[in-house]
Amino acid sequence: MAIVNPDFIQDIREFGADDLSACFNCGNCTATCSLSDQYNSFPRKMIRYSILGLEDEIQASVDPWLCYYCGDCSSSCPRQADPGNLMMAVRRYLVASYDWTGLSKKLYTSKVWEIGVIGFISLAVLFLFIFFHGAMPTELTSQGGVQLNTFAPSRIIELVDWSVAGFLSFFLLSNILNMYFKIVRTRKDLKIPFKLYLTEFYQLIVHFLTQRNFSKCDTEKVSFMTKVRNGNYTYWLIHFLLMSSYVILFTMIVGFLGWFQTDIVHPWYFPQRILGYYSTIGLLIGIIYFSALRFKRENEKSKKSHFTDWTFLLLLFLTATTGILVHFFRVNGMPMATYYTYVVHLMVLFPMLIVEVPFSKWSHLAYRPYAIYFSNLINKASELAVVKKSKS
Amino acid sequence: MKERIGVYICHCGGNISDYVDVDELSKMFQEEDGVIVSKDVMFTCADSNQKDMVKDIQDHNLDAIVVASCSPKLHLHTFKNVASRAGLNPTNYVQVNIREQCSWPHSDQPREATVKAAGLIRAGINRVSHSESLDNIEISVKKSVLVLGAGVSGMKAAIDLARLGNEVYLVEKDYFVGGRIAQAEKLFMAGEKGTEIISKLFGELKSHNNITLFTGATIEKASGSLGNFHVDVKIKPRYIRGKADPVLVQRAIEECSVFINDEFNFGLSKRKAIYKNYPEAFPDVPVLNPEALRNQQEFISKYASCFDLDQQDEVLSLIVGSVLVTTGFDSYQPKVNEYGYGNIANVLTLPEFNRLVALSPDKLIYNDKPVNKIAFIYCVGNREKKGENKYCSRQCCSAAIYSSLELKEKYQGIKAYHLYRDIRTYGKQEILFEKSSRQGDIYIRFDEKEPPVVEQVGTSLMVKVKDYLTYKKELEVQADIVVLVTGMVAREDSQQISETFKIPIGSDKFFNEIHPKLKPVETVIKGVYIGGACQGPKNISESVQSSLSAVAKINALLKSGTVSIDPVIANINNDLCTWCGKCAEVCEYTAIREIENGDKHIAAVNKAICTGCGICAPICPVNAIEIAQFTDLEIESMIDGFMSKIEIPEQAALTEKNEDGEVLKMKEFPQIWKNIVHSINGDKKTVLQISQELAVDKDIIMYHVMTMHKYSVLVANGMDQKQQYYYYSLKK
Amino acid sequence: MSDVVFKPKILVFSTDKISDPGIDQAGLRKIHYSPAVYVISLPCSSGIKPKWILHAFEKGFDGVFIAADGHECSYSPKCPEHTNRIIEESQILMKANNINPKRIRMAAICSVCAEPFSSHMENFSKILIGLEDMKVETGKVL
Ligand SMILES: Cc1cc2nc3c(=O)[nH]c(=O)nc-3n(C[C@H](O)[C@H](O)[C@H](O)COP(=O)(O)OP(=O)(O)OC[C@H]3O[C@@H](n4cnc5c(N)ncnc54)[C@H](O)[C@@H]3O)c2cc1C
Ligand code: SF4
Ligand code: SF4
Ligand code: SF4
Ligand code: SF4
Ligand code: SF4
Repeated sequence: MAIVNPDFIQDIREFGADDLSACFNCGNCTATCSLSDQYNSFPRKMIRYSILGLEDEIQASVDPWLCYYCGDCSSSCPRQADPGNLMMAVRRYLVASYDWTGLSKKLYTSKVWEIGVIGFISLAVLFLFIFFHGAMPTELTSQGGVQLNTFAPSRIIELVDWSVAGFLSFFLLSNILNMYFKIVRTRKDLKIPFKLYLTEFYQLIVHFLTQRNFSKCDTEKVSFMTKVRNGNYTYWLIHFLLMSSYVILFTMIVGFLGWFQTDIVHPWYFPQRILGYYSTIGLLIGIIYFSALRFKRENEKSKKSHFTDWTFLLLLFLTATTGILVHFFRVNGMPMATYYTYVVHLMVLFPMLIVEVPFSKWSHLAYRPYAIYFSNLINKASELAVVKKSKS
Repeated sequence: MKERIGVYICHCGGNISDYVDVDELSKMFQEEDGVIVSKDVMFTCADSNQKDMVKDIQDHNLDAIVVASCSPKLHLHTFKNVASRAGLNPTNYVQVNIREQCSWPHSDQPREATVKAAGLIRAGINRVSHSESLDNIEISVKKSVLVLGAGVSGMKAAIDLARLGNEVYLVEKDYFVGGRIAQAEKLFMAGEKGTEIISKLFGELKSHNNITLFTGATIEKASGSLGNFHVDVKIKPRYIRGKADPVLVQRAIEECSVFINDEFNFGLSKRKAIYKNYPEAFPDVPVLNPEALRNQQEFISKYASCFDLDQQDEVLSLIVGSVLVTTGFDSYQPKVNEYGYGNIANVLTLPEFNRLVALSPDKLIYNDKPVNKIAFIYCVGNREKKGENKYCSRQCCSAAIYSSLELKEKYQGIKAYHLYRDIRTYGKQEILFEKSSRQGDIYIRFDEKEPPVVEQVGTSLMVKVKDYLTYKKELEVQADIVVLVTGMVAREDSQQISETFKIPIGSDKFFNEIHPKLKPVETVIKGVYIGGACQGPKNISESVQSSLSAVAKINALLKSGTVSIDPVIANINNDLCTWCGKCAEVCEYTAIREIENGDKHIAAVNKAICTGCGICAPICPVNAIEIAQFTDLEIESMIDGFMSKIEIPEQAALTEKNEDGEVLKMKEFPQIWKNIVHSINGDKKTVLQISQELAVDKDIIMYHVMTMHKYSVLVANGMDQKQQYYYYSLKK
Repeated sequence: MSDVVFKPKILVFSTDKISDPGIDQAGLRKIHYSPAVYVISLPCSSGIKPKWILHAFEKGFDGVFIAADGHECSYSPKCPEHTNRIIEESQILMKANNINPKRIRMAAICSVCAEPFSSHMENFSKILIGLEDMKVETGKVL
């Protein structure tokens, strides 16, 4: 028995949904969706839950994470109810509902909170530098580089990085645990054998690394090369570029800062520089591509942008450009410019990490593969249950 | 006995002659006794053949004709007219159906079909030989109409009948006109007020002095028939003097301290014992409730110049030429505890709820509690699989959705749930549904098998429902008020009206028209018409449409002062009849009465009323009744015809057709087909060329060429240079 | 072949407004039924005289079928009662004349009842063929 909550429509609108009320349940969207299958039927069901305000049912659903927002459903909806956008809004809602601190909901539904928190972290970084920065030597190293590690010793920054990373992982992991409880543990009717947890884990890895489901979104029957030429894979490719750049940078900053933030000016082919270039260029291409899509509003998935979509892109863009500038000034021996841009760089980097990773858009990077993992667990377990039943 | 009969047997371009050996039959009937002309014709209904028939009838002085072709439903009147044009009485014509009831259903057995066709035609010949020349019955009619019920249908009809010059008596049961629409605050689609429409119509009513309106009036008795109905109208008094000073009456109302139940508002409020339904109600004279004021002697005598408690019921007799019944509908009254109705305080019907909204100007409060959440439950008392009301009331979906839209306009913070079975906002009303859905009204679909359950929980209501749109999930809907969207049912007194005017009623108790498509406002009682929602569920525009088509029918009927009706009626054989009265007992229309004839009493049929149904005929113990055109002689001679011996030479009967039965034999071709074949002769030609060559009109050639193409006699063979005409050549 | 098979001759009484159009429908849709079926159309099935039915049997019809309007009758709500009464009276007459009362049947046929009509004809033919006394009486059995 579930109580209908008519106020939920307004709540989900704050997460970016808009026309869902127009839905008259024809089911065209579910019929056209190439990812919806016999185990997970969406997006109509999710619209229905949203209209009725069945929050428990929504929070127990993995379906929103299985949608890669191709927009086919929205273009086939006879009522322009925009089911694809609803799925996006529900994902934001889910991010907020997994987050037990409640901060995520604030960030998603209030611009004041979003800007406030980002501003607060930036200022904190600024004040830390004002009071604790190291010496600002103007003489250069033997290769002609700036002595950045004297201004901000990588050991200390690394410590800060690690504590931030610990902080982020704690929240992210606890949120994922919360997600696990909401999705898997609510299925009281199912017994999931322990072995399944292990065998299904490799799927998680594969999905994280390849984002494979994107390509399933298109069902046109033409050859692979034609698709490449027609740009059918562009979105996937650029999303992959962006994501991998992000992961590389993240690993280098959090894991190998001593190696990454160096005062030595390596030759251009040195891996530290190559990786750095790859990821900054990857980031920039990605940011420009996605921003352009959001500006043009031509395809379904980029038609509607929530303000948090823009903040993510903006923070990422600022991080990347200030990073490049730091590198440029350092390699070209411009000490004061290096120090100031470095401060600005960290002033955007930290809010970006702290706000986006566990509490906002970035977190879908973690939730999506887990959702597939949980969904596989549930589906396999129910299959097993059926088999068992038919045997006995 | 007719002895100069013409027989025409139709090929129907192959529809008949593909299976029935029409040639052979026409030859066979040339030998028949009494048959002067027997022909087979490609298309009997074609203009050219009709002309030939007229000529035949005149040249050969035929006294009867038989056409063996398609179903009489198609061409009965065509050939009746042919007969009339030739100076032959149309009752001396018989149509034999050898297509729908012979060549088509027996296309699998051509030989048997031919034998059957012969039997059918012979029966037709036998029948026509016993036919009598009958003239239509002429009746003089009064140019006056009784319109029963002054709802929107009746008022509109009365106005238009009056405008067309008829004397109209508009009889309304209530003390005020307008019917149901007075109770709806605003009406879909345009949002007019029901009361405004009524005021407008009443203004028009008043401007016609050939309309007499009776309010508080019902029909006591009706008799007579088309052209001359005798109707007794009983009028209840208002207990207000006719010449009372309106100002004084108004003062009396203000002073009146006795309150009674307000039926117009379904008891949601009280009204004074001197009242009008609503302030602007018409006629603009209040009504006094004498029981309620029994103990108010002082008050009564104070206003003695206004009140007259001695007024009595009055009965007036009217004579009218025609009757239009527009008595409308009742709203379904839920049974006790149907969805909690009657037991749970905040469960209302839609009409009741609409009154509540009309009475609540800025805040919606019911039973001292503000109302924010409203759950509508649809199809109450309608579309029942088991119950009596199997039909859909077709306007309640729109009415409920419109109410819900209006609520949101009128009050703040309203949430509406619609628990429905199907949404039937057909036509333009679909816009209402879409609007309400986009505004965030929540639609939940249940099935009749698992209806919602309404429960009282504390001070509010809880509706439990299995939502078919959410995998039959059990949902709980919290509501302050539950509105039962009740459908339309027939008026409580419909049985009584039906008995008074002999209008048939259906199993749903609404009045029945003769034919829903072809005679939608006529009843089997000549001169009695129905319009509006008394025929079955209708919204306002549909109601008015049907009552206005009745107006057109009535006006056409009464216009000339006489009407002519079919001579198919019962005839009594005065010698045989012994007046046992049995026939009069079974006649639904009281068309038979007892008369004196010389020294004995016999039955007599009122020609104007008799429908020719024939129900009285078999009941007569002395077989004194026969129905014109269906006499014993005619029917029995048909039976003889079916069973007469028929010799069809084996070879002459058509051999089996090929699989699609589409090949025609040259010998069956009509002359023009033969000419076309000769004209083409191995070559290819366009319709234009053939037409010039044969000197026959292009359209006629076109028609035949198309038919020949259909039967694969010709095939298309490219187009001419101007791409205007196809070439045709013979099929090998 | 066709000469050997006994096709019972059936006289159908139909009604102008409802069942006759239903029978027409069967033709229109080329739904086949026995060509030994002959139809007389009347205003109302309550107007059939038992005398006519007897006449039909005397003239050699094997069966009489009344295609009635049932409750759809536009003349009288009591139409089914009247028609039943006529059938009962006819059966009394038939018994008196040594005709098996099973040789008369009635069913409601509506204006779109094409298939029902043809299956009624088929069933009735089968029943007529199966009647013991018919075999003896007519000797028409294959
Ligand atoms: C809740 C509700 C909301 C609706 N809303 C709309 C809407 O928004 N738009 C719309 O198009 N339609 C609406 N309808 C339908 C509309 O009410 C009908 O179509 C319309 O009233 C039919 O008019 P009528 O004149 O045929 O019948 P009625 O309105 O029923 O009028 C019949 C009249 O005949 C009188 N009468 C009855 N019996 C007798 C008798 N024995 N002797 C003398 N007089 C008699 C009655 O007193 C009455 O005055 C609504 C219906 C309902 C129930
Ligand atoms: S296609 Fe549109 S209207 Fe149909 S179910 Fe999906 S969202 Fe609703
Ligand atoms: S956006 Fe694409 S993947 Fe997502 S629900 Fe719609 S059709 Fe399915
Ligand atoms: S109009 Fe709607 S509410 Fe009324 S009976 Fe039909 S389906 Fe039910
Ligand atoms: S049933 Fe026959 S005999 Fe009796 S009154 Fe009627 S017509 Fe005369
Ligand atoms: S045919 Fe007989 S029963 Fe029928 S209306 Fe005429 S008199 Fe009455």
